[in-house]
Amino acid sequence: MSRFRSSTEGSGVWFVPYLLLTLFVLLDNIQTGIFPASSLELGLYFVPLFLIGLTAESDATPIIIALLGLINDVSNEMPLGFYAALFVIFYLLSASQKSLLANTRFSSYWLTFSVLVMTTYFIAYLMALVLNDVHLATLPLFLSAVACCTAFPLIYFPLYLLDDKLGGSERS
Amino acid sequence: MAKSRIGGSETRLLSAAGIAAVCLLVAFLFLGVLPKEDPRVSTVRQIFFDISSPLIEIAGTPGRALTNTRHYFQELETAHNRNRVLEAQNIELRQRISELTRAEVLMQQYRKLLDLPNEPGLELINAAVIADVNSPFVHTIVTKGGRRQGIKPGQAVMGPNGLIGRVISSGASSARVLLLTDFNSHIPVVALSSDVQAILSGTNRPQPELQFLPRQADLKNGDLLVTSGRGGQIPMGLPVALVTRNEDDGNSDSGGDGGGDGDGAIAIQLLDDLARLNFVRIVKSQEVEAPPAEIQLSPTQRAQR
Repeated sequence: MSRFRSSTEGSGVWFVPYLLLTLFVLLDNIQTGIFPASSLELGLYFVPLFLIGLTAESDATPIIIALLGLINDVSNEMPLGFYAALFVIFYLLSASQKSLLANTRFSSYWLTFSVLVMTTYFIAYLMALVLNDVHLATLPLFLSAVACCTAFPLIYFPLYLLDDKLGGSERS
Repeated sequence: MAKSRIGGSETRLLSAAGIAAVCLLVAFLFLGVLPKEDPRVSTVRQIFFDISSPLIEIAGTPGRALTNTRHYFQELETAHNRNRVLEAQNIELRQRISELTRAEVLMQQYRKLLDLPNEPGLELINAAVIADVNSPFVHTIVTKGGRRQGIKPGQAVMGPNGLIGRVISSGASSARVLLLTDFNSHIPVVALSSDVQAILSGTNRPQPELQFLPRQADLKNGDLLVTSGRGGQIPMGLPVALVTRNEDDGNSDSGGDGGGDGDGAIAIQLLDDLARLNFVRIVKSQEVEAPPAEIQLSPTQRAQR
């Protein structure tokens, strides 16, 4: 059985990935001085987005994700619609992996996540090439994608602990 | 039961995918219709930062405290050596002060002689940096303090050592600052030693570059770039960056005929580390008195000339 199952019904913690996504979007720009190489966009919001893509079945999910993407556009000084499009694309890519990731191990999740993040960052690169408003530095973008993939377990493990509750409704 | 559930799930997923496609379409529509610099979008951004800045500030407190503690212990280790360096610098600075006092007196006399209007002094507003919007796409920061403190769009922003950017919008309690490294940043500068003028443009990389530099420009390693004041928005004379030359590049470019001082490819070293800004100083713009249309010299001045 997949570690992440339908979570929108019956379980009291279905909102955890959404809450995490919202927090990562809102607090993405905190000035801490801990990461001085701040040209990197760590993109931690992709982790809860991945879990939402794998678990959520509500029709409202894409709308919520697109709205959070718009908020991320506002907070990241990007043209409106840039992150909204990326979030929805990533959500669709994640949702398409739902059946493939049934009965798989952590390494498969990590690998799939990495491939999806790389694909999404490549789409961001292509969008930046097309849009006149967006100018990117290619190396930091590539490093950001690598950093995001590396950081996956940091967010995954706390959610893994919640997994019983997340998938509880379906198992019962 | 299971089958019908799977069937139901598939139907709902298709429906969600359709909604996602519509959302994607709307997002692309936004991208096509609303440019990044649209004033309405800028207003929305400013309102967002006005509302979220207290939350961002509180959320950043533990991280800042951790960083400050780390810096404190790092500084303790090097305190003795730093003290020696600072003492030497202090002696040097005292000498510089006496030289500057003399230069100031001379400048006042020259101004009087040329009947030039007095340049207003710089009024600075201190502001804490609360958010750091740095990514491969944009390089901006958000400061605490906005219109209430007299911060307006266009004002120059200084770090501890030199210019770091300019205000692009100010709300009631926060202001957004475009850093010199952002692709959209273009600042007119002049080299202090050679009077060569150019535009310092951001590249979204840590080092900006000089554009519209005259071909015969003679910039040397260590030349200080200051704001030229062209355009009237940013006061002249604010230190911005140092010119550094990569001598290896110069040798290969010039066929190895020199490689001495000033022969390499030009690189720009900003005076401040833009990734480690905690506080900034915003230069409050003041109206500069217009110079007289024609300089009227008194008979004594004419005789002196």
